[in-house]
Amino acid sequence: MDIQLKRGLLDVCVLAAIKDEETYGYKIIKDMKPYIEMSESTLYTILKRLEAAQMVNIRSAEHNGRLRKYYSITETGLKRIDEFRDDWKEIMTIYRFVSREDQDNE
Amino acid sequence: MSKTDFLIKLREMLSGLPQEEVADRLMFYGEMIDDRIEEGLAEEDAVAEVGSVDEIAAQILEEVPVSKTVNVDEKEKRENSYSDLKNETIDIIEDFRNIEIRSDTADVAVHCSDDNNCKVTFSNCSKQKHSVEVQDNTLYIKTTNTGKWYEHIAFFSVRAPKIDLFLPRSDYSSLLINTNVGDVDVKEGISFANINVSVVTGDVSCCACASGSLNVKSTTGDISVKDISSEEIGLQTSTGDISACSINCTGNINIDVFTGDTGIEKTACKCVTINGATGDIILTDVRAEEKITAKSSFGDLRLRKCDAAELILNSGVGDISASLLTEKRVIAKSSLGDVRVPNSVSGGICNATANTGDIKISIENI
Repeated sequence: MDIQLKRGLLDVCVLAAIKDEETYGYKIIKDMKPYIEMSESTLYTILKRLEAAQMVNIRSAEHNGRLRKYYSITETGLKRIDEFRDDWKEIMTIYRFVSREDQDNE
Repeated sequence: MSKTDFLIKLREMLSGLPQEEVADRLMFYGEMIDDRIEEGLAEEDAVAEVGSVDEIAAQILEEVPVSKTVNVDEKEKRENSYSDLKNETIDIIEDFRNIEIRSDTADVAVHCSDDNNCKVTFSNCSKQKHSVEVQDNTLYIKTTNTGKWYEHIAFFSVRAPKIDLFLPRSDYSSLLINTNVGDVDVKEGISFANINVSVVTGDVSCCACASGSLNVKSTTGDISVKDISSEEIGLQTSTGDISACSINCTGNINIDVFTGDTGIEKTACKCVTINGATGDIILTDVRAEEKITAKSSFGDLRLRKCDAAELILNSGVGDISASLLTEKRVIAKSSLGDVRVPNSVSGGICNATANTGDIKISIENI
């Protein structure tokens, strides 16, 4: 898959995983697993990128005697998900057009 | 592979990256392993599930832009973020017997108050939110970061965020300090029943009295304890040295080090157990009523003027040398090294085993 496209998709996946409630790294990976397998280092990079883009807030809190990082979505992050939905409609239109050409050729 | 081994190896492989980047990654992977263990996986399995260190390190090194190691922009940003520093002092009038300090990034120091007033000061903490409250006989001090993650990193700045707690001289029941990045310094003059300090990246120094137990844990940092009387002492670090001096412990002292040296001086206790991997273990004037156990895979074991009813000294590559105070029946074995031990038939037992190192044991003044 095109790297830029894949990168954009993964960003939205992570945003979707944290959009309902504040969550932590391992839970994000588990929640996404039925849909997409993501390695820890990929998740780390995406979270840092989303934080830099102010789509995610990160805070540390105590959990069972240790510190755990918690991630929550911002307004900008929610907006990004909406944008993705709109973009996707456009892509689907193009996809249908491209596939129809294929079928005609067959 | 254990979690500690995983983190040490990852740390080594990322050594070309800026320290703050490495510390942040180590915390991230440590958390991922801890969460799996919490879910019921065995430590080894949890580590295996996270992936191989080689692959992870390769992936990280590929992702991080080379410029990051000498990024002027970021350095400027960091300096700017410290330009609007502010200090704040909060007086505490309520009574309490327990203290809990939790902070993400700050040096923490606990002092004995000069004027018998209780107060806490926050220095250079402008990018942090802090709260101070007394509840259920416990003083809670908490800080959380509000700025960008890289703005708090103070490795290269002299103006690191700092929390100073000044306590009136009294007997407190417990002191708990939990920080992510930063040094912890518990000064002399105050007594606690139990002290519990846990730091991910930072040095810990403790000179306060811990009559019940003293537990110090640092993943990456040195630990130094001095003038302590306690019933139970536990010191643990993955990458750092441990030094203990003038300790009086009625129970056991347990020390775990992976990459670092251990030095214990002028200490009396019931049992002392030291587990080292790559560092040296040096004991001077250490007397254990029952047992001294010291193990190191790659380092030397050096005991001077030490004694215990039973000694177990175990080294892989390093040498073992010991001067003991009373006669011992010595059982010594080295696969490749020289063995020089006294031929006593009375006294306690000293069991020394080395793989490639030499063993030299002597009895003082006999």
